[in-house]
Amino acid sequence: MKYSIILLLFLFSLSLSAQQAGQSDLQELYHNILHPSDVLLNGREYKYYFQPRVSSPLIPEDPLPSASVIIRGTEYQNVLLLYDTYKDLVVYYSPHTLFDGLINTVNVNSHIIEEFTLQLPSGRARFRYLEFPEGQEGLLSSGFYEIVSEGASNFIIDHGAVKKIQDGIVAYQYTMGRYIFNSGAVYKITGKKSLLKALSDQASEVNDYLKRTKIQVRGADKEELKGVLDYYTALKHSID
Amino acid sequence: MNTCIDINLKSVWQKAVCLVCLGLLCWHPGFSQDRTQDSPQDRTLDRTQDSPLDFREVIYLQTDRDLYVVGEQLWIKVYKLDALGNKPDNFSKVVYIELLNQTGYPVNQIKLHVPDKSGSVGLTLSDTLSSGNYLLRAYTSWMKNYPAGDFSFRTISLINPFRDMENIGVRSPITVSEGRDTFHRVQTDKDLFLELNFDSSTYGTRERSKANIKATDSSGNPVKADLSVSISKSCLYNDHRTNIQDLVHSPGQEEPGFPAQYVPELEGVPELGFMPELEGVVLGGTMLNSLSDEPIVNEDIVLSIVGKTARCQVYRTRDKGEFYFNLDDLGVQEIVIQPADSSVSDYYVELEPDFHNGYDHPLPGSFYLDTTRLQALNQGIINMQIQNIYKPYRQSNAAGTPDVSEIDFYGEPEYRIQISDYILLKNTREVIKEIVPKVSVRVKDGLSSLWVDNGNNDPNFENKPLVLVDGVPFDDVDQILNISINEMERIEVINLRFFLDGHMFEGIIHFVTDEGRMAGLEFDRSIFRQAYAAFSEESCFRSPVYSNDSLKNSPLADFRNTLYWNPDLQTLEDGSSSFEFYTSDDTGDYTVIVEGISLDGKSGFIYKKLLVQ
Repeated sequence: MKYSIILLLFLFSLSLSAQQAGQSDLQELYHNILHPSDVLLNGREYKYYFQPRVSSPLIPEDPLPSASVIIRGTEYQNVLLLYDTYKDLVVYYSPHTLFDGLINTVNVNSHIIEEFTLQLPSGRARFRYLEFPEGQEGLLSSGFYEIVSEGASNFIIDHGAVKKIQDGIVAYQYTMGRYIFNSGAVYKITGKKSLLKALSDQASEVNDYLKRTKIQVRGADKEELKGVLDYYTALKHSID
Repeated sequence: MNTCIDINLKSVWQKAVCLVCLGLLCWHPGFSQDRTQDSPQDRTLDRTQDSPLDFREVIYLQTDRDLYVVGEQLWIKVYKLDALGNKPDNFSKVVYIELLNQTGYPVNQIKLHVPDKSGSVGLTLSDTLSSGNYLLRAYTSWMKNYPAGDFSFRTISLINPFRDMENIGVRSPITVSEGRDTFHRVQTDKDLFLELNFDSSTYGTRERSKANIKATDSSGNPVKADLSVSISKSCLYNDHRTNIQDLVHSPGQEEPGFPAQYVPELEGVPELGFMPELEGVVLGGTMLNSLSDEPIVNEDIVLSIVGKTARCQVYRTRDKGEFYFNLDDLGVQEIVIQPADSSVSDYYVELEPDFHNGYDHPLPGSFYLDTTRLQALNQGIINMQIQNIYKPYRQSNAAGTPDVSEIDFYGEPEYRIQISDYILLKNTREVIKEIVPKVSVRVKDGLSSLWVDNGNNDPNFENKPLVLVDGVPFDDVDQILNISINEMERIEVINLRFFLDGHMFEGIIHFVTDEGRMAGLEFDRSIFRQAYAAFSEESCFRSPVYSNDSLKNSPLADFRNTLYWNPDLQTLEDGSSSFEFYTSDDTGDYTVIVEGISLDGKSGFIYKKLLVQ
């Protein structure tokens, strides 16, 4: 009897796995038939407006096919993507698709991108397009932001660039702003004071944590700050 | 000795089981198929490719009640389940719902966008429909590859008091069907147990009513579940109304005649050919040469939608001239399909039917009114008429088209010329010459063409740009230039190369007219242009709120036959949920039905009576 049940369970698991395999095969088949062309080849050509030898607003500096992007629920890995920090554009190189014998660089339509990741010197960075209401003072403008932490509060990084004239030549200088969203408000994190203000409902505990871990907020890297936010989330959950 | 023999027997049995299992392992397509050898690009919906066929889905179709009067809304909920485990699943995103009359003719058809595991919609029952039984059926595009008997069905009865009342027979209640419900069914560990408690056993008119629900499994543990609630006049339910547990636990045993909920048998031989719809409605078809009837292959073709927003898609036709586009628009749209290369002129387009043709399942039988309910039903008919009289004074039930800011496929243009911002010029030709940057008109052999300057101090692009009028590619530039400037709203220019679905355009010029209907332009070649219904517009159940004396004393009569319909009631981690509503002006017996399914496929059903006096 026991073995009969095992056999039945085995047969059922076979059917289940076949059902799951069938579903993933169908999804693959669907995308190959509905979207046979390179889905990233959707957008304007990207025109260089800077002198790469002087400075570049593109990150990462050394382009490698190590990025990934999610479009229409499907993740495409190992693609050559760059992020233009000055114009807030996602730039795609498609070495396999030539038009007029040229490799084209495409500024990918931002509204089709659900998420993309880049390999930056600071680690893997996950970007998403965030919409902010226009004309509200103190808030960020809509665009792509690195999503570092999502929990009781959200921690994002704004990768940007400012245009400067250096020695009579236009140059683009990289800038980075760190922000926390908590209870419907946005806080720019410049040091310990602003961090404790952003997490004011647990300020005392977070301050103790910073002392214990000897984290200097102003110079902390994103992983250290993420650790603080994780601690804050754990505190909130323990209260709930 | 006996023990020894026993062990040997077990050993033999174990070996046999192992051998059978190994054999099955080798035979089963899910394991034996070498996935690495099969390039995805080479695969098509071919019956010999059996792996995708392993996936089956089913729909459970639920309505707010069983009996309706024409002019009312029929509220529907659909659950998408995987066929094997009966667990909620989110594979297909489009559910087709049809109302068939007794001859199998569809009298109403909608495509419902269901981005989650379940979805709901309201269907208006036209007053042109005759009294009788109707069959509601629901399926996905993927399910169309299998026999129609595998679709989900539910019979509803319709009364049209203004015509064909002679179609309705009257008879005494059928004792066979009485008491035929799931309450006598043996409960299993696949059951979802629902507890429903109201804050009172009876209510007055226009009174607030609140109920708490608790969902647990057979061990009493709280369960997260997706439920629906309907509260309607008791006379509008059938005695033999089936519920979600009949689908999940006891298929096949139905009363004589057509079952209220037809239960599919998933043994049909598949006839493949329909794509699953994992995003929106898949618009499939074939492009053929009108002279030779041969398929037009490897040709970039453009689907566009007539309107002020440019929504173009490009697809390269396949080996048999097939093409597939994904549509996620609401309501009826005017679509145009044409080759991207305007020199391809001798073609015609055949679209695949979107709804299933025909039926190979039983149709509903004759409709008989239960003599014991005649008085109550008569009150229901009067209620419908009162509701319709006061309908214009109430907020519309239809949520309408959501105010979604539509984006042109090219995003923000490089240049946008709003005609009203400038002095009134004579015609579009003059506007282009005087106002529109980066665009020039050339005339050769009496024909005009538009060119875009790419702004690099280089010569213009070598190829003509994509010229759109109200979102539709249009290459007769002279006609465009003759459009009265009074009809033109704006002109948008992209003076960069633009890549769309693998096709490259050297610039885009988009002329948008005031009405967004192409200003009466005529194509100099035959094109495929027709109205196409994508998703049906959303609707939600609304009922009056009598939260203060002013509202409670409103002179608007309230005679809802369905007091409350909530197709999306989710229980929390602790298994609890609640809902509240206000009773109407109509007193009498109401039936409350709560049913649904948990994330792991446990299904449950509960009903209660509610008295309004």
